[in-house]
Amino acid sequence: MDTITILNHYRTRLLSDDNLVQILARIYRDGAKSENELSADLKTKPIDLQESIASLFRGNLLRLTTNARWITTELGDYIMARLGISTVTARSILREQKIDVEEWQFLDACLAKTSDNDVVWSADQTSLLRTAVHLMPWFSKHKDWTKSSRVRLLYSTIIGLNPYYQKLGPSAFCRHIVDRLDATSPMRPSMEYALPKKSFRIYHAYCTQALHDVERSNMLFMHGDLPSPKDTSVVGPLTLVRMLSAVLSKRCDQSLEAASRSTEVNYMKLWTRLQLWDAGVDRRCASVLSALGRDDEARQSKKAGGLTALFLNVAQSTNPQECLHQWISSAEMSEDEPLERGATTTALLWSRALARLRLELVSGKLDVLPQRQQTNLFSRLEELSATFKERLISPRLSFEHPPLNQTPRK
Amino acid sequence: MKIRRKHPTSFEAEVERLRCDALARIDRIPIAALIWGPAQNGKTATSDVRSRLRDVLLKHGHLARFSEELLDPNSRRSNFAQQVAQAEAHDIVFSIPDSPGSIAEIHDFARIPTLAHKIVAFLDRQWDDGYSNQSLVQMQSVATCRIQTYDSSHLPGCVIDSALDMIGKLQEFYYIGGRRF
Repeated sequence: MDTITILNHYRTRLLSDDNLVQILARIYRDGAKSENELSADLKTKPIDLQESIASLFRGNLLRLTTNARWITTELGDYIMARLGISTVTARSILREQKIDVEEWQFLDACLAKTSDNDVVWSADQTSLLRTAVHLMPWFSKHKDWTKSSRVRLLYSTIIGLNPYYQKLGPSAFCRHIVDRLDATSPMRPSMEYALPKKSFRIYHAYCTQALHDVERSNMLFMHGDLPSPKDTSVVGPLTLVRMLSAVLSKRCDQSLEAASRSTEVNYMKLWTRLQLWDAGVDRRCASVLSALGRDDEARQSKKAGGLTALFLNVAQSTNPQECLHQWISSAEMSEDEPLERGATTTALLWSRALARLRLELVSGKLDVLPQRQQTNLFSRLEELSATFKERLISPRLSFEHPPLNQTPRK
Repeated sequence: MKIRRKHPTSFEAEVERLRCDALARIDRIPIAALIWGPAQNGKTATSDVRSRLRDVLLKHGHLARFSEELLDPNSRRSNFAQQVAQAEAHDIVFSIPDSPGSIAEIHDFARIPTLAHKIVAFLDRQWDDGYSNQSLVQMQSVATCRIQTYDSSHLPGCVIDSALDMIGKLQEFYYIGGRRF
C-alpha cells in the first residue's frame, strides 16, 4: 500500500467535520450549486462556507464548473456511496415524488435495502433516480404520460434495473421486501412500516412489469425500435433515463452494458426513434446536464445526436480489443448509408473511433494482437480514413491522429 | 466556523447519523506502525518522543512497535533485510532520528521503491544546514519518503500530533476503501 501517496492525496479528513459532510451531501443530492445557493440551503452566511468549500476543493472532493458552481468529483461521489449517503439521497429524492403512500413505502424499503458495501449499485441507483426525477416534469407534458407511467418509471428505475432483483426474480424479491414490511412477519426488523398481506399481489405485478419495461428498453436500445406502439409512454423515457444517467455517472447499468456489448447498436436509428418521440430530446438532456453542473457535456448534448455521442464515450470505456470489432463493423456498415440529418453525428463518431484506434495502434496499446493483424488493421484504418474524408460534410472536423506515414511499432 | 442548524431537515439528520456511525467504525480500524529512532536507554528528548508515540498509538488500539524488538539475532538474514521485511509488513513507518548519522540511515531506505512510500521521517530543523537533511528534503517527491521538519522546542506535541493526524487519515481512507475492522 502506497501510504505516502494516500497521505498526499487524501488531504482532507472529511468525516471528522460535520460541516464538510453536510455541504458535500447537499451538493451530491441537488447537483451543482453556487455558494449563495448553498448558504440559503444550509441557512448560513456565504463567508462561513468559504473555508469549508476551500477545504473540500483542496481535498479533491469538489470542483468548480464554468458557471461558478460547485459539483462533486468522482472521489466525492465514491465517498458518498461508501458512506451510504447515496442511499439516503435516493430516499430523499423519492420522498418528494407525488405517489401513493403504499407505493412509496415499498419503493423506499427497496432503497433502504441497498447496503453501503454495494457501492456500485448504490451510486448507479441514485444516479438513475436523480436523472429520472429531473426529466419527469418534461415527460409529464406528453399526451400519453399518466400517473401510472410515473409509478412504472420509478419501479423500473429502482427495482427493474436492480441487479439483485434481476437475479432473484419478482417472487423472491417481493417476498423479501414485503416480509420486511409485514407487521406479522418474524423477519420484520422494526415497527416503521405496516402493510396488509393482500398488497403482495399488487407489488408483485408492479415488479414483474418493471422487469418487462427494462427488457423492452433493452430491445429499443439494441434495435432502435419498439415491439409495440403502446410501449412508448414508459420504455422510451426509461431508455433516455438510462443513457443520460450513464453519461452523468460515466457508467452504464449492467443490462445496458450487456446490451451495448452484445450487439452492434445502431445509434443513428436509436437517436432517430427518440427524436420521433420528442424532437427536443437533446435540448432536454442538455438542460439536465447543465442543472447538474456538467456544462461541457451540456454543450455537446445540444448538437444533433449529441447525447448518443456522449453515451458512446461511456460505453466505449472498455477493453480496446472489444471495441475494435464494434467500431470497424459499424464504420463499414455506415459507408453505404446516406448521410442526411445526423451526418454530423456519424462524422463525429467515425472521426473519434478512427482517431482513437490509430493512436492506440501506433502507441503500442494493441500489441496483444499479432503483428500481421496489426499491419492489416493499420492498412484498413488508412482506407477508412480516405473513404471518410470523401464523405465528410463539415471540413472543420479535425483528425486527432498521427501522420499517415507512421507505422505500428515492430 | 460551525454551520448552525437549529432545526436540521430529515436529510441533514440522516447524513449526520451516518457520519457518526462511520466515525465510530473508523475509530476501530487499527493501523500497524513501525517506529524507528534512538534507543530507549539514550534518555534523549527524541527517545522520549519515540516512547510516547508508541504508547499513544497503543492506547488508541493501533499496533505500534520498535524495530529492535522485532530483530531476530539468530536469523541468517542481515539486520537491514529484517528491517526491510518489517517495514513492508507495517502500514506506516515513523522515523525520528536524533543525529545527522542516524538521518543518513534513512537515506538507505528512502531510495528503496517498495519502502520509501511508507516512511515518514521527522527531522529536526537544527540540522537543516547539513547534507543529510537537505538532500532528503530536496529528494522528496511522490516516489520517495515524506519529510516533516520540526522545531525541537515544540516536542513532543509536534511529532505526536502530526503522527496521529496521519494515522487518522489512513483510518478514514482504509474505511472508505472497504476495510471494516
